Amino acid sequence: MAYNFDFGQVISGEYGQWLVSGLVTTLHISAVSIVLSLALGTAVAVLRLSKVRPLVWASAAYTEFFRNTPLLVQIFFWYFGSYNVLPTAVNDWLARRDFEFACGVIALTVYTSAFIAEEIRSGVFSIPKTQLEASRACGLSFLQAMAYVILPQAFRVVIPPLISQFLNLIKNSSLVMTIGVMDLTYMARQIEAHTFHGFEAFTVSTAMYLCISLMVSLGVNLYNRRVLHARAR
Amino acid sequence: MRKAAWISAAVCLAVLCAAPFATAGKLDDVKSRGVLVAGVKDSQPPFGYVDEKTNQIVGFEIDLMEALAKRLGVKLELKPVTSSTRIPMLAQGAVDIVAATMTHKKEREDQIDFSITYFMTGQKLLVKKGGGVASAADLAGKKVASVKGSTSEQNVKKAQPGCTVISFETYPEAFLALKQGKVQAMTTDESILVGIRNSDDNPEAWEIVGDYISPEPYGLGLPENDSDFRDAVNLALMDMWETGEYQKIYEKWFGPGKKDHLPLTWKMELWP
Amino acid sequence: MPMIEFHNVHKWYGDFHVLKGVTDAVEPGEVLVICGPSGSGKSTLIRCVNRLEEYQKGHILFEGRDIHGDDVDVNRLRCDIGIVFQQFNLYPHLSVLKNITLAPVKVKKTPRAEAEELALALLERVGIHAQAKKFPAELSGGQQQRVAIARALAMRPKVMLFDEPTSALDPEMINEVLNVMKDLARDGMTMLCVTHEMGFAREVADRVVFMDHGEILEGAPPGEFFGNPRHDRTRLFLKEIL
Repeated sequence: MAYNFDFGQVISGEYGQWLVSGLVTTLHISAVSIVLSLALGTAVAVLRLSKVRPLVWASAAYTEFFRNTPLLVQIFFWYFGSYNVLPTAVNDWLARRDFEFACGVIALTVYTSAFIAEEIRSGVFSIPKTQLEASRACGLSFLQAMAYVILPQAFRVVIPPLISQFLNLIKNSSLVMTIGVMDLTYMARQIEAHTFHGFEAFTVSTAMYLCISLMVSLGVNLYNRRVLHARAR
Repeated sequence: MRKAAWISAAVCLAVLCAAPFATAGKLDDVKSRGVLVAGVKDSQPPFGYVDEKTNQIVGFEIDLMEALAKRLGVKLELKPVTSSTRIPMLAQGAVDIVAATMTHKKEREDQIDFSITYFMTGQKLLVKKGGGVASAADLAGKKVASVKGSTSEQNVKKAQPGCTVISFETYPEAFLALKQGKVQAMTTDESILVGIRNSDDNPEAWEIVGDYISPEPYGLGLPENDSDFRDAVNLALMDMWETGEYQKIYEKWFGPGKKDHLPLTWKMELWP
Repeated sequence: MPMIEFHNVHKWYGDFHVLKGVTDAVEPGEVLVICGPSGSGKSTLIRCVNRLEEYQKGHILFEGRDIHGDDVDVNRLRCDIGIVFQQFNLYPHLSVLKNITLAPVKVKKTPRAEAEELALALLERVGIHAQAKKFPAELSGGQQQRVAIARALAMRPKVMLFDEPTSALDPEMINEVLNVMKDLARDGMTMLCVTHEMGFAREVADRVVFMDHGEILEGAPPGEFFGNPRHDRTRLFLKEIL
């Protein structure tokens, strides 16, 4: 007996709609997490570069901890672990909201920001120290020098590794289904459970992941070429 | 980039085409081999799970498979399957039959065939005692936990469109969400809910409520379009019921006084 | 009151004693040229003035206040002290105009229009008004250094520090930068210049000091300094450089 391929069943009708709604959820959670993790990662990198001992230690501890523990564990930590720390009233308040999506965003953001912080830090190292010196000498504070002089140059250097972090995030977003966020992978699993057409559902969802990844990659590269590099030849 | 895309497409295609073509006549196959290979659950008490003392897979479905193998005159070999591997393994012939708490649904018919119903249960709700939920009707605006790879999510959505379903990987996680108040109920087959409730330190704090949200008839998974084998399995099941062997196995796992007590309230379909 | 006073300034890099008790004073409007062999500590000395370098002993006063005093905000201090580096250190990702307006807009909160007006005026003054929209990499070394001078001037500093401003330039570009510096000196800017350009020193310096091994050996108006150096080491140095 061979496996009966039936792509029509999974891309049309009710199941097609499931995949689309899963795709929307995946795009939504990925987009929010990418923006937040870039911001948080940059902040963590700047703390590490600040030369203020306690901040440097805190930043180093943050990156090492969140880079080196499994994302799945972190997702459970935020979702189930928070219960034991937060007051009952807060837990109840959260339970009435979309806490699953929020925990997914927090976990993806924190996890990815640890990697992004390291990428940005290495990008900053590739910028000559004299740039910081020159900007500080003009009266810019450390944060101003970072914001206007160092980071804009560092970002250009780290675009390729940043893209791979974004792509990792998109792929990692499939793990949020473990706490019930109905993303693309979740929907593919549901279709499999209902129809046993798992191969088709996962093939279609894989193609969707591939499309998202290629588009993100293309988009960032275009931004890099058109906006960032166009300004300095 | 384009080259990489082509390569990944080619790999996907190769994997899909690799699903082998099994030979016809599973019954002859099994008999000449002298072994029936059954795909079973290994972590779903009391249906199929690893016994802590003996390290063997035991359970209601395992006993049922033993009885079937005895009737076919062959030995039994068990292979653990999961919700996502059971169909490919059956389709590729890695197992001859699947006994893994699988609900017989029309939509599932075009991949595999099913035996007649060998276990009848229905989807219910597990809630905190005194938590204000007595049936699906009370779930409007509330969150319900279910487990992925099951159809319970859609069923409860149909019974109460106003609820939000949160699906987890495993039953313990869904139950933890219920305990932490993240959801107000969890839903799945009553037979499974009984086991979950009993696994808690304080089973009295929880109750199983409501009418059946949906009937869940379990069928054995069989290779598609092999009527000889299907007949043999169906006749064996009916024979078990008629000779009382089925009831004996049922009592052993679900009888009064057992941990997962569930009264036998349905009758197997018996062909005259 | 002198603009800048050095009181017995000592600095060590680990075991290496870079500055060995430098004491001097620079009056408002004075142009001081600091010369000496490489490694003598002259760059380190002027970089101490705007706190790019720390020193371990002694005091530096700016307008009578200790630059390490509790009441001194280092960023405010640096607004008053412009510096020009050997390697220009322009911001490669910003246009010439933005290079100049960044600090006035972000630090002094000067309105952008006003800052740009000032920047264009300064570019005019250093003679590269036409290059405002270009990026640093599109300019020659001499042009880049003149932008760097304009960038420092845009903060309206009270003192300008020059750290070997012509050492990285091709010979044909040295004069265009020196001319800007001479112009600045004639306008009465207080300047501390570390340079090997003795012609410049002779022409515009009020005083030339010679540093060797972390000490100021001697200092005098250029006529006296070049005409009648007192130390053997100064004489040797001048013989080699001239």
